[in-house]
Amino acid sequence: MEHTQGAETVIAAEVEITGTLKTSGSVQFNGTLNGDLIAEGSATIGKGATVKGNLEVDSVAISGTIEGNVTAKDRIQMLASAQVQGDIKAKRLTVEDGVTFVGRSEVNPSGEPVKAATTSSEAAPVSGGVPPKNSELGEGKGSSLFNKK
Amino acid sequence: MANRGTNEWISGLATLRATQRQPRVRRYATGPSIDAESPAADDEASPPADRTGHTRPRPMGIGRTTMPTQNEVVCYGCGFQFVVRGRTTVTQCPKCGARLSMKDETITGGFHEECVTAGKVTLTRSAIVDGGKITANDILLEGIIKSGQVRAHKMLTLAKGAELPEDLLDARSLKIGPEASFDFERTLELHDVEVCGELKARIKATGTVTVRASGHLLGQLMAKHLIVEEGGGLNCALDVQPNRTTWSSTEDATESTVAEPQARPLTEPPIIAPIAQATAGDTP
Repeated sequence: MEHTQGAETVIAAEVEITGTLKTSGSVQFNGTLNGDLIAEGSATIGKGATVKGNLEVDSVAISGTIEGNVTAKDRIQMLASAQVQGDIKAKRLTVEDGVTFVGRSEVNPSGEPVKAATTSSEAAPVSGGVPPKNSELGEGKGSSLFNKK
Repeated sequence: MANRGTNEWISGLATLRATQRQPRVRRYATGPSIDAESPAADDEASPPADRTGHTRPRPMGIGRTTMPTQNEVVCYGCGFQFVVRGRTTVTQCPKCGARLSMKDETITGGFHEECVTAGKVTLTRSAIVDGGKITANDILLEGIIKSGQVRAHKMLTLAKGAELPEDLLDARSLKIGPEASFDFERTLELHDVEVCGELKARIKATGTVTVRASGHLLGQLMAKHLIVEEGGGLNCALDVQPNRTTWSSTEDATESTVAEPQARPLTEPPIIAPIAQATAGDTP
């Protein structure tokens, strides 16, 4: 992955951070973050990492758990062990088999915006389209998608 | 006589030795073929080396074993799924004993008859099905279906330009061809979905949903597995969980029929809910 400036920050698995993690470079995160992660470069969420907050990055490769929204300027890559509960938005998206993903996706590689009527009609059954950031999703967290008419 | 016999022995031995000196033409899996007539056949072309660097003796005349093709067949009588090896036009269901035709059929022009096969049916762009019945393992639809019944026991492929009413077809898996665009108003309950074009629908998939690089999926998706290639579009509300055991309190009964890919009796109700009519000119 490319990063605009700065060196790569590596957060070990034993580290737990409460608050916002912000960097102008790239970050490889393997610990636990209770807050947002903002990186101007790329981010790598390790297999055992947990992020309870939003991500705003240039590109991200996710192998761990994210409970929040992910916004990438370029690319989101979900590897097989990724678990994402939240909305994602990017130019490009790659999803491997085995990913757990509950939320909304807004990925248009062509760059053309999706019609507003399409998104609003699809968003209605999902209670606004943004699942709670906390782990309040119980059994059948996705069942509300198809129950409402 | 003795001279003649001796000469024959000599000529025979000479021929055998000459044959042994000249290596035969052989092919390696990764290298070019080595012609016995080329000067580099014997010495300069080195035999393949193993991982320790030792060269192995040249293989002499042992070719590659070709395995017969395997085809998964779903019986259109009882829904039993089994494997047929090799190319055949007729087979027998090991469960119900029904004689199954394995022929691939191509339909062009007007069609209002019955076509039942365990092979593949291709409806070309000029095909117009009006009152006919088509049952096959795989169906490729490029034409128009006005009325009748179309049932695919394995895969239904909708190509660009295909037209079909909502309540006339059902399939276990669905594939949207490249540059094709379809918009379904009702919920689609399928096993596998492959999107190479554009698909807007509410989908419940018990298998894998694959969005290819040229594909774009819109709507809502509830599936066990999701694969998105780079370049694929995804504007959906998603619920993808590989460890899913229940779909919802209202869909438990459906899961027992949809989740089992093996047996699907012919008398079961259609899997796909009525589908909105799609035309070639549809744009998102």
